[in-house]
Amino acid sequence: MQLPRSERVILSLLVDLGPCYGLQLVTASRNRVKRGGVYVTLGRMEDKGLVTSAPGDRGRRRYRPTALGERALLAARVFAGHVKLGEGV
Amino acid sequence: MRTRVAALLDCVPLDVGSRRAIDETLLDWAHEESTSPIRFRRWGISGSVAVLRTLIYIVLREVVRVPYPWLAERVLLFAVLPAAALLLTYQGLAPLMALATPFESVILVALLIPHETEVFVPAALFCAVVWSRRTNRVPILGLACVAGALTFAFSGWVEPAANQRFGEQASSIWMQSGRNSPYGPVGWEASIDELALSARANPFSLRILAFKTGLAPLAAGLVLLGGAIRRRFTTPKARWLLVAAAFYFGTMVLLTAGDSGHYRYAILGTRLAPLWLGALAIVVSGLFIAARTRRPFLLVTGVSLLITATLWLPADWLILYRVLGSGFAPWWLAMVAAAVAGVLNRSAESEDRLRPSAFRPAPQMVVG
Repeated sequence: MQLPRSERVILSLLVDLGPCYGLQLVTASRNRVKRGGVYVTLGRMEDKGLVTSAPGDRGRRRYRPTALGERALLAARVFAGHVKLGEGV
Repeated sequence: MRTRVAALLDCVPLDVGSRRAIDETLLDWAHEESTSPIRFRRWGISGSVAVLRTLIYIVLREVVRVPYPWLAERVLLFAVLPAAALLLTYQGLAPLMALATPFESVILVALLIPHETEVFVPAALFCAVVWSRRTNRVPILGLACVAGALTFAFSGWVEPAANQRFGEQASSIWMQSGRNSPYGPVGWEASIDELALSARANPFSLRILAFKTGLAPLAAGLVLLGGAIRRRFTTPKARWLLVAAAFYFGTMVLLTAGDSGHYRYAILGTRLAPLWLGALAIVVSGLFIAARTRRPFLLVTGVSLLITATLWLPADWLILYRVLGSGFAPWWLAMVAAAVAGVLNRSAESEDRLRPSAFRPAPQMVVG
């Protein structure tokens, strides 16, 4: 599975920070994830099964990576040469 | 301000994924309002910019997801074929066709099709959206944007270029036959940018410019209206309404044709086509309102009054066009169509929200 840049950034943040709201992802990404596109991207990632969400504070949803998402991120990092096989995410 | 924006967004037709993205952006805005200083809260600039940006993302995504082969097939079926059929039966072309070779005749008809199709396109898209079984799977907002852009390009550049070419071709056929052309000398057909340049000096150019630019929002508005009708009503009901409206206008055209056929031309002619569409939109929305109130008496009285008024005052259509129009009629009609679509969408949206399955469930992951 090939991960677009925005999806890779979101997955990295979710793996590093744990469950997050969309707005937190925008802030933490330092503008690499745009505020206008974050929920469109998260919706697409949820359709692909890379992230999952649960109701949080005041109807907002908190997102966390699925096992498939974590494996996809690992594969993307290995492919990019950032991580060697066997090191984990 | 947030509640106003949210109410406005309820009028926009969005699919489940897009609606969820917008809803979450609005929830973020509410969260920011509750945690930010009063001055920031008052203006809500950051929140409204976020909603606007989300909306732009959604529109871009929907434009990509429009089924273009389906769109091309519908335009061919509902606009190009009727336009070609009308041209082939148009008596005004008969003298020219008599002089032209079969190949030249085909070229002439092909060059005139854009001119005829120009005003058919908004109506064709409306009919296609209402009629098609696939509409519920088509992203309506994206389709409306594509329809507007295509109509703009078509009426702005394709139609003037084809018209100009037709004039030159017809003129050369007349010259070869050694007769004088009954249509007069070939005039220059200005494209939309040329019209814009000459609009300041020439009020007539401004009128044409307003008309041509108005066809794009009219197409978009009618697509939104068609989508709202399909969202609000079941397929047979929507089709029944379309047939009823078409039957009504068909009867009107036949009954007002007169001996000379002047009114037939006036109502079906290119100049009055937007008014025809607007009247169609008004009748359809009138029928909806009456059907929603579930009062057959109101429905029958309203439709009878409309038919009577239209049949007794055929010449007033022209006056109405001149008053409303001055070229701006498509803009008015587009606004009416978009407003009716917004009302229908909002009512459908409030019904959807009451359903327990309104919020899209996250897909269940099976790993291993």
